[in-house]
Amino acid sequence: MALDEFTRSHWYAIGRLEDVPDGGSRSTRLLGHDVVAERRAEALSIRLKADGAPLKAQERYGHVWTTLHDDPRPLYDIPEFEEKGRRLVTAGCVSVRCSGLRAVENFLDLAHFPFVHAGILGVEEQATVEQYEVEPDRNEDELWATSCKFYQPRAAATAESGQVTHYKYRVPHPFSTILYKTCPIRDDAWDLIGLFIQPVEEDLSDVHSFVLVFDEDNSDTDLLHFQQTIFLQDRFILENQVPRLLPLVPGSETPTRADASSIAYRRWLRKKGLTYGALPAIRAA
Amino acid sequence: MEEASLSSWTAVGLSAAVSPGTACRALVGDHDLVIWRGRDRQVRVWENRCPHRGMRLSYGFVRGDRLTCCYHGWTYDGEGACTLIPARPDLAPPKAVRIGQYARAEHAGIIWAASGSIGMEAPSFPGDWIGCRSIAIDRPREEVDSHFASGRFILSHPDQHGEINRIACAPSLNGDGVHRIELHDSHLFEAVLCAGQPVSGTQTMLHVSVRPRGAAGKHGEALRHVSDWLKEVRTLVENRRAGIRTLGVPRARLPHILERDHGPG
Ligand code: FES
Ligand SMILES: [Fe+2]
Repeated sequence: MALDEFTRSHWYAIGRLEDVPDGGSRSTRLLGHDVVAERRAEALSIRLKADGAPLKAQERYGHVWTTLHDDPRPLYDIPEFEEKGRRLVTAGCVSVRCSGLRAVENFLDLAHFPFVHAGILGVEEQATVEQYEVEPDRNEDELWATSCKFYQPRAAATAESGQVTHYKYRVPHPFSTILYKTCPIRDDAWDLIGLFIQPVEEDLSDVHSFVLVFDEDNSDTDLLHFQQTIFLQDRFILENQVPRLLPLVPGSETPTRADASSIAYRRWLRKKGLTYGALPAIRAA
Repeated sequence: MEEASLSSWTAVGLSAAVSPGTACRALVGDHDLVIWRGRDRQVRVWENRCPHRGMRLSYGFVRGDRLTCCYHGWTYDGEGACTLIPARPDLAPPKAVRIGQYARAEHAGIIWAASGSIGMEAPSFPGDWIGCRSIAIDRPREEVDSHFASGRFILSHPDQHGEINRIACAPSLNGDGVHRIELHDSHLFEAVLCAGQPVSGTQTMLHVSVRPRGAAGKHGEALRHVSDWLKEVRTLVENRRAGIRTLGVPRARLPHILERDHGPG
């Protein structure tokens, strides 16, 4: 399958900074191509394994990024990474047997909390998803879901009791998504949790997750454990969804009003002409 | 290769393996099935895919006579119609949502399924059968079938006096992949029924029931013998393909099963 231009034009995280230490290298796979990242005398270089062709490289948000495109669109900004007092915790990548698009859609989904993350991010007695807004930004380069709220018995590693958590979601990239949730210890701030997904193949994804929070109490390990517990619950779902690729044909699955973000995400992908990791409508065209 | 399809009745599990309140998964070639039983004791065989977002329903949970998907809790009644969307309890679930159903039946302690349009009666087997065991064999079903058809299996067990009885298993074929073996000389069994589920081009799940003879107190012993025998059936079927002649396997390792001479008689 030829790679669509939209997917090809993006930057992808292929590992954490510490995964490519000085003098070290990391072999991985991106969009069906073997790539090698190396650091010699502090300088990072990335190339295609097949013919050694150099790829563009950059280091941002605690990760190493590359692209298969000669003239990629700029990597999106996450201004919160500049804010003082935040801690970045990365979990390293987890391989998931599904399209990265399925993983993004799952991340945007509120309705699964009471079932998949029962007792942590939701309870079945309060499963109703209130209306929320989903919109593309002005240039349709990203999607935002705002004014989401949900009752959570243990919303974060710092939370000791239940609370109504307020959420915003940002999809700045077809294979990246960031969640902004009310910080349990600071009224004026949002905690960030995000996924940088590395599409290894159409139906195989390396998911790099990060947490960027104001938190003085929990150790990195506590924060990691919490995120890992959540993510493993999601992985079980993702690996048991049929089909593994995201169906973009309207009518192949059954969204309702509680699935506004899924509807908008799929519509956005269709509009951008994305086919990689998706089924199958645009492909036929 | 045999087309793995559900155009004829196919064994997909032992009745006893799907107790009320549980759901499980069965594969028949490209067909991914969820088998579940409500508190009403009715077994259902559906497409293993939630119409909402594609989650396998075999991981769902049975509540009363309904099946709830584990992803967002959409709940389906016995006919496969959605009755509840927990995220929007105010919303009447879309009528168009209905899960694909397979025809199903329970006979001889085995659950049978066929594609919905079958129009043929499920196989029925008179007498009192007890589900014994399901065993996975790493060979396609037609290969398992040909072993049964050749009548090579010999079931042996001690008789009342402790003498070893060897009973040649001359099966009668009841349609695709179903072998009924009548054992007139055994004090433990009247018959054994072996029904193969073509899981994939390389794997068969054999579901086996027995019709024991004699007092109920002896049934445990009968089931144990058949269960041991099945392990040996598997060894024989899997090894032959790998080129290991059964005759080369020390007899001590195959106490219950022998290959019959190919000569006359
Ligand atoms: S996928 Fe089954 S309820 Fe959403
Ligand atoms: Fe989740």
